[in-house]
Amino acid sequence: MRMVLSMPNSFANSAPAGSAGRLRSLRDNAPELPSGLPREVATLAAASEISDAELVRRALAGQDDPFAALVARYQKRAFWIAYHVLGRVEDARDVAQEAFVRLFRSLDRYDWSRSFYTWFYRIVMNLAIDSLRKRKSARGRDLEDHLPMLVDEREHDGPTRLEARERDGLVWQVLDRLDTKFRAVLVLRDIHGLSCREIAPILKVTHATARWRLHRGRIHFRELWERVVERGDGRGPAGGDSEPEAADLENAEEQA
Amino acid sequence: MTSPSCDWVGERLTWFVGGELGRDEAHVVADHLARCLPCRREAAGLQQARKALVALADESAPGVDEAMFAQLHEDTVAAVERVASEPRQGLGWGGQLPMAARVLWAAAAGLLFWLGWWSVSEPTSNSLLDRDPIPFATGAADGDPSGESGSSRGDRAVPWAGPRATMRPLGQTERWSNELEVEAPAGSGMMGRWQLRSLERFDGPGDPGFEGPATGAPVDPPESSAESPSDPRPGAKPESKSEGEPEAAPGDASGRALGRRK
Repeated sequence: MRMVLSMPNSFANSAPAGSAGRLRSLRDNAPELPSGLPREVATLAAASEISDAELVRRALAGQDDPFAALVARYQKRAFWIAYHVLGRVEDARDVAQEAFVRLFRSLDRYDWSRSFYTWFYRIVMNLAIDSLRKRKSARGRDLEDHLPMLVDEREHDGPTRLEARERDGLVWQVLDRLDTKFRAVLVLRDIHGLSCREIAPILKVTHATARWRLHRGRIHFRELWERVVERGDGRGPAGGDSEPEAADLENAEEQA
Repeated sequence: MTSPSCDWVGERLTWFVGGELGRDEAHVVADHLARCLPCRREAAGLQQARKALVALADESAPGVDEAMFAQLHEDTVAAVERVASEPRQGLGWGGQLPMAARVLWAAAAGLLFWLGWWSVSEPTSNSLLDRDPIPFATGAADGDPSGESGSSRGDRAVPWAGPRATMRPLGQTERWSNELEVEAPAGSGMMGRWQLRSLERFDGPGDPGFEGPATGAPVDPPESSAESPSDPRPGAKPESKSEGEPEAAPGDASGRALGRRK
């Protein structure tokens, strides 16, 4: 499997192709495992014939390795979901770790009729949203953290990466202004590629509510995005094939 | 299919740009967009914003690499092992102390509840439940001495509903000129509130001949209805009991109230 995140310049390859790679890695049944795992844990985690539920059953039976294998399978997904909700690496780390502790404590309450990842994602999202609500202005400091890197990357990676960074910074600004319930569903759908049917039980809402939040969330995001872009660098969203569309629209407007 | 309206298309644009629209509807929307500039602009805006958001999936975060994930796995497993090694609640000293704390909390809560219950005097033989509401005529203010024009439950002062309790219709914020205010006996607080709720079924006398409470209530009846200069109704005093009116059974407050107005 291709791991986009681990490649230093992968995100410079820009929008849809790169994002599809990440989305696949997040949704696949065979997730990418962290390096340096003990051999037994790595074997268990990589064994596709051993389901998550089976690992839970073995962990409940008192074995240590199965739970470590669950951690290995899901820690990257937990981290990235928390990161996209919170926008801070340290907070996302804490949430991911706490999610596994809570998972362990409630392992005996696992509903065997439901998928494991839905249950686990719900724990992660609840923790992340709680953390986000405690400090809503999460991105301000991180945007400042990104600034020194922009200078370095301008020297080493050229303008493409810089534009991607700037674009991402604007996206974070928009996400920060977005209501938490819309942000959660946008993160799960548009960044992590889950369907509304998968999102609904994670957020503990109905399918219709998940769809409505996605619909409204995209509209709100678009409004805020245009506002931020106009107020920001004034160059519009960087990169991607959206620029020709915008140019076409301008031409069409002139003709009209 | 006829050409859809811009509203119809607009409701589906978020799904269209997300690739979540059904094939047929997507074709219809695409056809419309090819012809409608405002809708095309809307779609382009949504598409640009969504592309920027989706691209966040490829964002690299500072300090996030394989080493961090390896460390995170190690830390997480260690944290879980610490939790697993903790004694279960209810076993050993670690479990007994929380249990003792829970017992203390329960005892304190029980004590507080008892004190609260004790501080509210319960109605005994001279029960508040046995009393009748004190009627007064709001219709008097409108020149209707019988009070018929205002015969609703809002016309009745409720002496047991707490100090200076009156009932007015919902939305009535101003005091009536002849509004009756009565003092409830001390100690009737919680019980009085309960009785007030029980009066929700009481909606005033329907009988024009109704002139007041049937029983001379042993508690001091409010005199304000008689004292009210704007209350010309002669039978408005609580003491004016109708002759031959049956005595209601004690303890049947709602029955009495309903029986009064029959």
